[in-house]
Amino acid sequence: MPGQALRGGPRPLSGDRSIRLLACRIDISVDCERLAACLDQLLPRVEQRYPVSRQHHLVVRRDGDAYRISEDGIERWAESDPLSAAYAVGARVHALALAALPDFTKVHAGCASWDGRRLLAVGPPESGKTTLMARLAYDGFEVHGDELVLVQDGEALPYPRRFGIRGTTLALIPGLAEGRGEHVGPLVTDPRQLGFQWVIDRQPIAAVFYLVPNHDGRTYLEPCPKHLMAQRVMSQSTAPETGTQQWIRDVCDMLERALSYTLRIGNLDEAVAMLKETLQLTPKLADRPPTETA
Amino acid sequence: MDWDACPQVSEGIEINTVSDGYIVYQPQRDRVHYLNQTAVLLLELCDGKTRAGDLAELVKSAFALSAPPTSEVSECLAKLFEEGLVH
Repeated sequence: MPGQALRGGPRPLSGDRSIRLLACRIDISVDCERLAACLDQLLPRVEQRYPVSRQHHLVVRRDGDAYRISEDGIERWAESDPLSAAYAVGARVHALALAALPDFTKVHAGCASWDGRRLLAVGPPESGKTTLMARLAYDGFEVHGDELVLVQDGEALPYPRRFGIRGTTLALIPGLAEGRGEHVGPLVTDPRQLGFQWVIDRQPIAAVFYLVPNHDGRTYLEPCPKHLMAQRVMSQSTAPETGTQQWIRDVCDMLERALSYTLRIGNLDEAVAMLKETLQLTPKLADRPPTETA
Repeated sequence: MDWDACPQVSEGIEINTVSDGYIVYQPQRDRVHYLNQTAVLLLELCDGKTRAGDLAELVKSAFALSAPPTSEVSECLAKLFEEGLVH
């Protein structure tokens, strides 16, 4: 009897959903509507141009006061409330998706394209990646990700995650702030929900920008030597399972094909103008010679 | 510093190039080094045949400097020795 608990037996799994994250497809079955609603808030729905090579199945069943989580038929752990269970499942989904791509270097970076040219905005936490990416979405850029980019053979594959925009930075993004009043908590959203195209694919990078916060100040753009940028990118990335040598090669290959700048980011209008001006110096993706692995 | 010695690049290091420098990996120490153009030139000159005492003059010629950058070369070479990139 769908939608009703069976006396003396487990609740039916009414909330089935399938999430695709790059090479991974994860089917999730839950028996709690609140948990299902939380998961729908946490997990991204995005057009992805990447072949699926792994599948997993997560099941969450309510058992008294516990939410028991199984992975591929084996019970792994339990949480005490639907929100904690949703966060645990969300974290596991991302861990499985990233584990399916072990041979990529993982860089903390936002990623966006403008007029057929793609940029990476690399930086540590709170350097302004998410704010800049949200702002770029409202300025004609196609934004792919705000936090993590997978790099291999000189190309970048943005990792699809929903954005968590701090309440304090909403005012810096006029299109986003409108109609939200005095929103104080983080806003979880994504380009698609904001009304923009959201596509994930693997492409070469035209320019890499290292973000240095200059809160409440002006924005400055300075060329960054590539050997210095390599050091910065390495400091904000993790190695592929293939090891350090591949890690260095991935970073060097990417930088060799890209322009390299330090963006001291303050005023966002200035930042947007500088990024557009810089990207115009580079060839469009369609005009670039094919890469070795293309 | 023995200025009559002819330093040589250590074996086993892996050199990756970017347009303005080298990214050098030392597997034995699991260390990564980021070399600017001057350090790259010095590393290239450490061929086991060139005297350390001649390096500053060679750098002067390569970069068309007005005087040999003796102290900078000495400092950079000492660092390359210290990190085990040359011996």
